[in-house]
Amino acid sequence: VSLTAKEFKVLAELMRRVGRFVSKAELETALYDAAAEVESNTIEVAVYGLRRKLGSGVILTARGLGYMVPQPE
Amino acid sequence: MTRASGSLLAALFGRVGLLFAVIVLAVGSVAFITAQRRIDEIYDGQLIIGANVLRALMAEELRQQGPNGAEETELQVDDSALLSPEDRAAFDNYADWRMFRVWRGGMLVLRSDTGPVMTAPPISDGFADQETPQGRWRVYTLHVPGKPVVVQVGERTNIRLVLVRGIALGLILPLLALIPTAGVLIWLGLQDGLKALRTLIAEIGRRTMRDLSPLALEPWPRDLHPLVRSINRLFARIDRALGNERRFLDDAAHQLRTPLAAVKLQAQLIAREDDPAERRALTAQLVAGVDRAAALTDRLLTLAGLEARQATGESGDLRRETVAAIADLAPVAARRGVELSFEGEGAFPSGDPMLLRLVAANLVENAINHAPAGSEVLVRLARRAEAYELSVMDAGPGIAASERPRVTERFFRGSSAASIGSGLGLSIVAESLRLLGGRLELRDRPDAGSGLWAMVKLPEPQPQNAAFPD
Repeated sequence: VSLTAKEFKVLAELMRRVGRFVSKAELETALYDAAAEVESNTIEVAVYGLRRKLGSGVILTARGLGYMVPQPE
Repeated sequence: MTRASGSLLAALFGRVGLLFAVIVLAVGSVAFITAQRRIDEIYDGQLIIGANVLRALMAEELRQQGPNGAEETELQVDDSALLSPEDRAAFDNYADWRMFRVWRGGMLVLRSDTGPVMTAPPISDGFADQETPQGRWRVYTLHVPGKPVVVQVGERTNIRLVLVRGIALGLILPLLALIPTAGVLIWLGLQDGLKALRTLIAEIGRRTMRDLSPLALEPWPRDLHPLVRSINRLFARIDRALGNERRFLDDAAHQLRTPLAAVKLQAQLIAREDDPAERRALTAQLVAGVDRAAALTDRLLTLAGLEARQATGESGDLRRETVAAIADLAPVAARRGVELSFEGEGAFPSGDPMLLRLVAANLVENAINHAPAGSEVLVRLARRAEAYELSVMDAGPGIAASERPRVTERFFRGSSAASIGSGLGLSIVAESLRLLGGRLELRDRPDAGSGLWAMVKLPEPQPQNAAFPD
C-alpha cells in the first residue's frame, strides 16, 4: 500500500493517539510541518484516500469530535 | 462514645452511690455547723445570764454587810458570806463543768473549785477562751458598773462539742444506716430498669436470619423506643439488601441460562459437523455467544458493584468521560452503520469519573443498539442553571410512556425493544446517577421523528456538591 505524504502524516497522528478522537484542527496542525499549505478539505481528502486504501473500518469519525483509529479488539 | 467497655449497671450504681455519699456528707457538715452555731449562741447566752444572776445575788449580800448600808463601794465583806449557803449550793451543782469567780478591788474574793487559775482580774468585759491542762474553758467577764467588782462565769467548751457531735451524729447515723439499704434498693431498681433492655437483647438474639420483621414498640419502656426504632430501620435496610441480593441472583441465573444454553447447543453442533467451513462458521457463532455471556456477566458485576458502592469524593470531567465512551463505542456504531455526532465544548467538572463513564457509555450504547442503520445518534452536553445536561438522542423506536418508569429496573425490556442489550444498561445508569446525585429523564424526541431522548441532569459541583432533591 502506498500512501501520500499527507495521508501518512494523518495516519501517523491518528495511530499516535489510537482509541481517541483527534479533531480536524489538530490534524491540520500536524500537517503544517509537512506541507506549507493546508487547504480546507486537505484532511477530508487524506482520510478518504486512507479509507480507500486500508478499508472503511480503519478510520472512524464522529461529527463534532473528529477522526479516530480504534483500539484493536 | 467515651466508655468503651465496662458494666452499665456498675457505672450507674457507682454514680448513684457517689451522689448518695456526697449528700450524706453535705447533710452532716451543714448539721454540724448549724448545731454548733446555735449551741454557741444558747450557751453563751446562758453564761451572760449566769454572770448577771451571780451579780444580782451578790448585791443583796453586799448591801446587808455595808457599814451604813449606803455606800456599796465601801463594803468590806467576808468572802465566805458573799453568797448565802443556798445560792452557793445552787452554783456548786454546776461544779464539774462550770466555774465562777468574783474579784473585788483586784482581789479574788470568791471562786468555784473548778476552772482555770487566774492571778489578776481580767481587764475587758465579754467572752474569752482559756486553755488549762484539764481542757478549754469559755469564760464570760462582767465588770459591775460603778463598783470595783468583776464577775466571771465560765464553762468547759467540750460540753458544747459533745452536744454538737450528738446532734450531728443523730442526723448522720440514720443516713449512714440507710446506705446499705439504699444500695440494695438502688441496685434492685437499676436491675429492674435494665431488665427491659436485657429482654430486648434476648428477643433480638433469638431472631433468625430470615426473621427481619420490625419489633413492636408497645412492650418496651419509652426510653427504649429510639433503640427499637433504630433496630427496625436496620432490619428494614438489611431486609431490602437481602431482597435485592436474592432477586439479583435469581435474575442473573435466569439471564445467564439462555446464552449458556445457546453456547452448549453450538458446541454440540460443532462436534457433529464434519465440513471445515461450517465448523468455522459455527465456531465464530460460539465465540460470539461466549462474548455475549461474558459481557452480561461484566454488566451484572458492574451493577452489583454499584449497588454496594458508596459515593466517592473523586472528581472527573463529564465531557472527557463522554468523549471517551463515544470513542470506545465508535467501532460498534460503525459496524451497525450508525453515525455518531457530538456537541459540547469546554470543561464539565463533575463527580466520580468511573460513574460518569458508566452513565455516558450505557446511554450511548443503548442509543446505538436501538438506532436503525444510516441514522444518527446525537450526544450533546450543555450547561443549564446550576446543572449539566447530557442528552443522547437516537432515531430508534423509543420507549412507550407507560413503560418509562420501569426501564431502570433490572432486566426490564420494553415491548418495542429488540433482543439487543442485556436489560441492565439503564439500571446501571440509574445506580450511577444515584451515587452522583443526578437524575435521568426519558422523553420523546423533540423533533418530528421517532426516537428516544435520554437526558441526564447532574448538579454542578460548585459551590458545594449538592444533589438534586427528590
